Amino acid sequence: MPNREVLYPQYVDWLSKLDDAGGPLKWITKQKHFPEHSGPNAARYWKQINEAVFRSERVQLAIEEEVIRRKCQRVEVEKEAHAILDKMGHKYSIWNVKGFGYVVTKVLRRLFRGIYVNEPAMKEILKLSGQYPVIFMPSHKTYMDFILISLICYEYDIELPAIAAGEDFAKMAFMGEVLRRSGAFFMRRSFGKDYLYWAIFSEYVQQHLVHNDRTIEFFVEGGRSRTGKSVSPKYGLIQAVLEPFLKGDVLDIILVPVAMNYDKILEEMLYAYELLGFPKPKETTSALLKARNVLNRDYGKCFVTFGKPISARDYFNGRIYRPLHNLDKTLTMEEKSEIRRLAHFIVKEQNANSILTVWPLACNLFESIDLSEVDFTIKLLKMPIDKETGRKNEGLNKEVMGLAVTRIAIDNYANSMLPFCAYEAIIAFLMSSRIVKNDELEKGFLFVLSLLNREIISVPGEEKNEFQKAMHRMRAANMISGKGDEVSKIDEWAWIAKLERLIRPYMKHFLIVINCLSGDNEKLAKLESTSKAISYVQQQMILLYEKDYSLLDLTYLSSDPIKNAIQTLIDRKILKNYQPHPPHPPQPQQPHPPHPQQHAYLQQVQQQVLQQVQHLKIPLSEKTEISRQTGNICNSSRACSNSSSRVCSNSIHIL
Amino acid sequence: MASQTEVLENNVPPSYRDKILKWNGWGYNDSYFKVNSDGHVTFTGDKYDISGKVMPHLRPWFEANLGVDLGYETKSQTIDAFVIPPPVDNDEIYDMLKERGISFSNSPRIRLMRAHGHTVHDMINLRHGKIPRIPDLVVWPKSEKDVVSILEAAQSAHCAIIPIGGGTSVSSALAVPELEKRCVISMDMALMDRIIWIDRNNLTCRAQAGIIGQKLERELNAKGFTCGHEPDSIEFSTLGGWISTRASGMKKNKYGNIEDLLVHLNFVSTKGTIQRQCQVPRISAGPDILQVILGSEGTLGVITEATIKIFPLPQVKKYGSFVFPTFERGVEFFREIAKLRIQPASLRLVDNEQFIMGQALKTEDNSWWHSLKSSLSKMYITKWKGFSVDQMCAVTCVYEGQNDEVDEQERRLNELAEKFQGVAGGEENGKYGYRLTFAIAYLRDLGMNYGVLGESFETSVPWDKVLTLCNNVKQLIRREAKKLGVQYPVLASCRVTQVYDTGACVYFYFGFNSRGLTNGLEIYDKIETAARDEIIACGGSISHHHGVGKLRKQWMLSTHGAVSIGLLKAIKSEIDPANVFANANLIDIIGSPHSKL
Ligand SMILES: Cc1cc2nc3c(=O)[nH]c(=O)nc-3n(C[C@H](O)[C@H](O)[C@H](O)COP(=O)(O)OP(=O)(O)OC[C@H]3O[C@@H](n4cnc5c(N)ncnc54)[C@H](O)[C@@H]3O)c2cc1C
Repeated sequence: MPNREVLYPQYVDWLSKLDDAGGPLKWITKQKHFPEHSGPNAARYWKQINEAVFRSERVQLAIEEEVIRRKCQRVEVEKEAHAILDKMGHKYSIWNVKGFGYVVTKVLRRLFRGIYVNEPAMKEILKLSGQYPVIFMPSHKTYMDFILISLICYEYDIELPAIAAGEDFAKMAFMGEVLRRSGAFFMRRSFGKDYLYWAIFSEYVQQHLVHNDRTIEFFVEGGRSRTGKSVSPKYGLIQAVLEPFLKGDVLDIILVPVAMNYDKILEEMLYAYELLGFPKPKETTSALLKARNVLNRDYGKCFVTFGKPISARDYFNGRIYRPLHNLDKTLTMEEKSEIRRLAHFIVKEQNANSILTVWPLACNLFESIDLSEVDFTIKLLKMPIDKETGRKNEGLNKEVMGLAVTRIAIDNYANSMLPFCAYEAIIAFLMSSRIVKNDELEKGFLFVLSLLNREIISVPGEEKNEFQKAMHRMRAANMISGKGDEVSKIDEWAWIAKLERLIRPYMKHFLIVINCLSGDNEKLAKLESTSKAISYVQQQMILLYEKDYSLLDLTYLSSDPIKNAIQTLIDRKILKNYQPHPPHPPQPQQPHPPHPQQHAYLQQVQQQVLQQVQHLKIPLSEKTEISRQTGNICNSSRACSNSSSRVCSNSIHIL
Repeated sequence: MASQTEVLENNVPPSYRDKILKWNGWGYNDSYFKVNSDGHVTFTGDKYDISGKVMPHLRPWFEANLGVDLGYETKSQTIDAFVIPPPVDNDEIYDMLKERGISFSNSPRIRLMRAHGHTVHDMINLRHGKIPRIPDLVVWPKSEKDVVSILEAAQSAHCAIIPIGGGTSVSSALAVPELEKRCVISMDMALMDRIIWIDRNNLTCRAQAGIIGQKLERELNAKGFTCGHEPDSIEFSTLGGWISTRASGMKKNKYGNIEDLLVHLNFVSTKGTIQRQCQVPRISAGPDILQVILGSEGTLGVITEATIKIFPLPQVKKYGSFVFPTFERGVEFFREIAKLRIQPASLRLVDNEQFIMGQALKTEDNSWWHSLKSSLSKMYITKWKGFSVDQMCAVTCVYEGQNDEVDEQERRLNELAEKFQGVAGGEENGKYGYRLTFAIAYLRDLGMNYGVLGESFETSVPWDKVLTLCNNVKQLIRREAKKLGVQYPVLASCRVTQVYDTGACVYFYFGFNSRGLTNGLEIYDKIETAARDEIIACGGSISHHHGVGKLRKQWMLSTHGAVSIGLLKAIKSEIDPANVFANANLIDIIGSPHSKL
């Protein structure tokens, strides 16, 4: 197996530190000495920050422009700005933290058997945090991430982060306020063309940085990953965070990728339901703590691995030319693409530092797992679907969905395995498709990676490198050997076959999504949004499944990979999307009135991907066993090997 | 010191430069800081008001802020040990100069004295190494006619010329390009040091370009005038040097920078003399050629005479000072002053590091009354006002003008300072602040005796970037120094020395103890380059007044853009096609030996 480098491998169990300190109460009431700041000011009280943000030139200018645009009184816009700030801003105070911290630590003590932290990294971060703004960028799978990072910072005397959280959290009756007072600030999920909001938000974030009031924490994946593996990063916030460095307002910004790994995740079942298209339940405090007897369960261990701090200054050195901003304040295309690259790099670092616990391995590679031994799955199976949320996902077969929930929950754990050997798996997949020439392998590798670029997050521009590295690792592991141009399998332990099964479902899934979306352009055009398109695809899949349950794996119903596939098809201009562009930071110089919401619809425009897939001669029909077909469901599916080929030949035919 | 066979000379004038200036440091031979037998720092000679005084806090300051250890000395080599390369001979030029009755010499020491300015490189080279290429011959024109004559001779004998005024350059402008093969003539302007006339009606003064600042000012003062231009190097720098480098004086708020003061000049080039036919306050006659000559750094020709504005001596000159709780408050105060346009003749804001350094330079005072007063005021500031000793900083200022004018200025400034939590610090402290100005260059020599490499550099920057630029650059200097292996505390300090409508001039001091490093100077270079890059990334300029020389050439292209550099090159090749003025400052010219193309 590939040898991943785990940085700072000396882990310390924080829970035992807690016990050593004499329990939660003693621990939380300890005197704390956060480091002095390098900024011109000492850390400011939240009211001062809000006031400074309001008075800032950027916000004042945005207000002025808004007054002109709306032709209204200034006080009106000012009032709105204050309201935005109130809704957005944290109300951090160390006393609040101590108060809530007591309760939270008590709960954690019960939930987990161990919370492991790589301690040496924290000491380095502590040193840096006094000098430069430090940004924690954890991988994000659960609410728990918020809490753990803050507690660990508290433990190591690092100024607690201001956490960028989604506005929906703020609405949680009690927890929302707890989070706010412990330093979370809340951003809208999207702010379209609301210039005033954007001005306030970016000023708010950047003031924290420039004054180094607090460390900052945000999730580059945007929200919690529901599928157990990384989500394609979002670029808006990281851009806002890096801007002060690019414009010379701070000497450096330190980014710390953090890998958060859990044996089990609080939200495991919720996610499975969500992925099947049940509307996301409102984030409520009771949903977080009370539901499903969270408190009475054993969540095993979790590992928090702080990666090597990345200095923005060193990272961008030689890549960008900052003095451009002496004339033009807007970020250039080059800068934006470098920032995107960095975002991917952060995700890569998170994955590289991930700790793989036995559970995902078990879900994936070992053949026979007795599902009946796994209590949570049983419970899931018994859970009636329509009780879960008020609304039903119309048109989806209840029974099928019930089965799918289980499959997906397991699958999500299995997914966290993927980043560890995704590249090798692609090569294994290609080799199983009888591709043996080195250059063809590379070509195929790049192609598959580009199709799955939302499933396997890699750093743009590094793809060829990754191919070489993966080949090297496979050779070193004695899986393959090469003579001249040709590569052949050695594969005594059938590793290739196992690896291959990690990727095959994704490819097959991709084809099925194409299949479901092909043909009826009129129907496609009626889909008003991506989410409508997703549930359309899900319905089509269920139809297929009902026709012949061996045609597809139930995990395919998961909305996340469907969304990814649709997005990739749109990116590749195979589907057309008339949705208004995703929000990007507007330029305050040229305010436009917001566009009226356009109707979104999909339209098929090209078929080139499928042709390329064919060209790769990927014999999707040949393999009968599909990796996730473990447990009950897969047993029955083994029989019908030929039918799965129908789907594929079918889809090719249709296109 | 030298292995030179024959010294060729003609009518060598006795010159202050050769007689009373140090060969390997700043200023007068008899004036320097030294550690006395008690282990305290004193200042020698009798030329300055700190001369003969003891500064008991200075050594501890050096120890604490630069990790200096008196036991570790890095003394300069002696002049006899200094290796001076033999001159490139050119018999023709000696003959021609003699024929024309022009003073010259190729004596090693005389050549050496004109081979450098005052960068840290120059000093390290003099003290511990050698200067790779020095002028081959020194000439002393006495008039514009002599300048023209020398130029003709140089052209026909294929020599290069580098004019030198006061030799105070801090941009390697005077360094002879290493690859220059021709005989290089250093044209010393020292004998062209007369005021030619004073025009009381128009308040102008015509002077020869070699006149030194302090002489010009002294003579104008004697007649009831001042020129108001007061760079910190006024004791040694010249009128021609100021124009060549676009110098700036500390009282520019009242009198203007050199480009504001300049009314007219004569400029001798290989193509002939440039001279505008009128001496008017302003002219609309196409692009201003004066602006091309200003800042030409000796690359285009020789400034021989200039007419500058003069002013009646002010009725009063008064110092003032304030303390502010933080540097940020001080910058805000300055920003507001500039907005209201109420700046007195000079204004300076020093950061906390420099404030403390200033305190360390205080002399021993036997008057108990003095010390009581200063400790009382210290108590007032720190205890009553709550200023923190490691945050506060100081503003010093100079008021000049009529009695009531100065009173009014002072009143307004005091009022404004209060708004920014400033506390008036009295006249004595203000005066004291400016005194430091003259000491600082001497102080570097003291540090160099104990392994310290130090330098100052400056920039201009828009108001909104002043604070971040100051913070970032200071932080960067410390960070780079650490990264490059500097083992002792690093001095990184700044002050805001000029205010303008749209921005300010920021001046940095940077020093570190090179003890334990094998390549201190290289490390110094890396840090200074990184600092300048950061300055530019923070919205600052390549230089506010020190100029480009050869030290900052690498940023010329990005500063101006290719088209402008092309224009500068075109001007150079038009006016000096044979590259007689071969100091290679500002830009590289294709075909010249130092060109990288
Ligand atoms: C301690 C110290 C303090 C300083 N303070 C200031 C300050 O406050 N403000 C400021 O602006 N600068 C300051 N400087 C920098 C320096 O003093 C200025 O650049 C000054 O204008 C140089 O004048 P100079 O006569 O010494 O010229 P030099 O150093 O002799 O020459 C500078 C350049 O001008 C050329 N040149 C000189 N004379 C002529 C001429 N007649 N015709 C054509 N070219 C000529 C030379 O070839 C060279 O390229 C300081 C330097 C030091 C060491």
